[in-house]
Amino acid sequence: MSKGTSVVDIDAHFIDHFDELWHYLDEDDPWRDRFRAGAEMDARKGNGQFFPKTVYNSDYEAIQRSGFESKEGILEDMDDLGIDKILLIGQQLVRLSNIEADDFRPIKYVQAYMRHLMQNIVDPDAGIYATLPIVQADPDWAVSMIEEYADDPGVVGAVMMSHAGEPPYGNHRYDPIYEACVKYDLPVLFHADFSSVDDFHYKGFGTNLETHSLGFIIANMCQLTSVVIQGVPERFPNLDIIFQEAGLFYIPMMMYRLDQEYLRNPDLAPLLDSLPSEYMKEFYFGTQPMEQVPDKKYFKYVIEMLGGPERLMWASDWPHPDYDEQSVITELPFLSSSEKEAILGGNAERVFSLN
Amino acid sequence: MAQYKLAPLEKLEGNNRLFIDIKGTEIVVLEHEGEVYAVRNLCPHQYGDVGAGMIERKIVADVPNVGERIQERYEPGKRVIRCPCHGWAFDLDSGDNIADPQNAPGIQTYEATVEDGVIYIEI
Repeated sequence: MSKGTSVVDIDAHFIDHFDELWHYLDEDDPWRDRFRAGAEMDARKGNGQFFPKTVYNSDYEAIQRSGFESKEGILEDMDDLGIDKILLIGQQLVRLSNIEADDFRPIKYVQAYMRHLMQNIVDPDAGIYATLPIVQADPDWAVSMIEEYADDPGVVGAVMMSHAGEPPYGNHRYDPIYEACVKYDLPVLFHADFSSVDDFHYKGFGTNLETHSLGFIIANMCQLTSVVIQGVPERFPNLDIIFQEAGLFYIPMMMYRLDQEYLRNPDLAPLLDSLPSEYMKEFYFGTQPMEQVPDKKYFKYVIEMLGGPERLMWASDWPHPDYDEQSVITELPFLSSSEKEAILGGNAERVFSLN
Repeated sequence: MAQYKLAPLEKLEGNNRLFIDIKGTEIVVLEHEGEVYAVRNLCPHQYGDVGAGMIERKIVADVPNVGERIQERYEPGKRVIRCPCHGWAFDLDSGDNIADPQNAPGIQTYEATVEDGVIYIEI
């Protein structure tokens, strides 16, 4: 890496716990006691009481990596992984869009999470930033949170969990969120998640290997399709859009699948002036998890198709079991040094205004 | 090939592992169920410390009868070491990647012997 070039990780998971977060709700808020009671009762710190949880973890889904729940631990891991700047997303929060009830849980959780994170963890001078979790079930409240945190230099983006958001994120009900993000110059990240065997939308798979393989990709494919075909890039041309945690190979597949479908039925997408693939070439994509290929030249083709190295941002997904080291980028022989630097940090610094 | 005298076997008691550098190569020596193993501490995936991984019994399955579930079983005498970074698993004897012994990269293993209570390896 050349002098002055930072390594930016756009996806790392702060390990948030109910037993910490309840303290950050107001004393006259009944949800404070509910969260506290849940944390005290449940050995898994309230997760099972309040949030949909991952069922049937395989032994390697349960890889224990400690430390990513304090500022000191985060800085230590950043140093170990060679990361200069990190964008944090909460561990529990990836399940936000799985909450199917219409209640206050996601709102209260995000409220407490952000208070804790901003008071104790986020430190732009140390390279620790936050992306604001968006409660997609309540766009008005989500906008109020954007307005509350938009001016904080430690908040650099807004993240929507792509796993189970319904209706999908091209729907007009989310327009106020996108409008607010454009107003405050916050890029929007769509963060995939997987389903376990008991909560995948196809029932009857036998292992988490299957549902883990599919879930992230399907989540992003669904939301990406909706965002593109419903014309979010046309309605909000200044919105920076990032899709993450589904690898790379699905991207060109979706580009040309959508092009084929759109060319057959352009009347069903009257907002579009260009092919879907052209809109997607304006998106950004988190790289993790890079696929396991027998020949790295396949990545060359994929990266060319999705618009080039300038569309990519390296992500570790630390501390998850399928995290990526920087070597997944540095060992791509067809990339120049400047292209590697752009993927490892330059693109993210520019898009998230981290300079 | 050269033989190296490493350490007394008792150094491996209590599931202790020895991490040794021999000519710039980091090697892990461990004992499991009475057997001493030596592997290069380098996972071919993303260069993790495979030598710090869990030792597990190897799970295999035979083709089931039509309509029956896949029945998993442990292969007798077979142990695998799993890299703690991402779970890549390798036969502790051969170093083969158990996912695809023919094509997927494995890990380097070394012949470890014990003589008079002292561990030796050949590199």
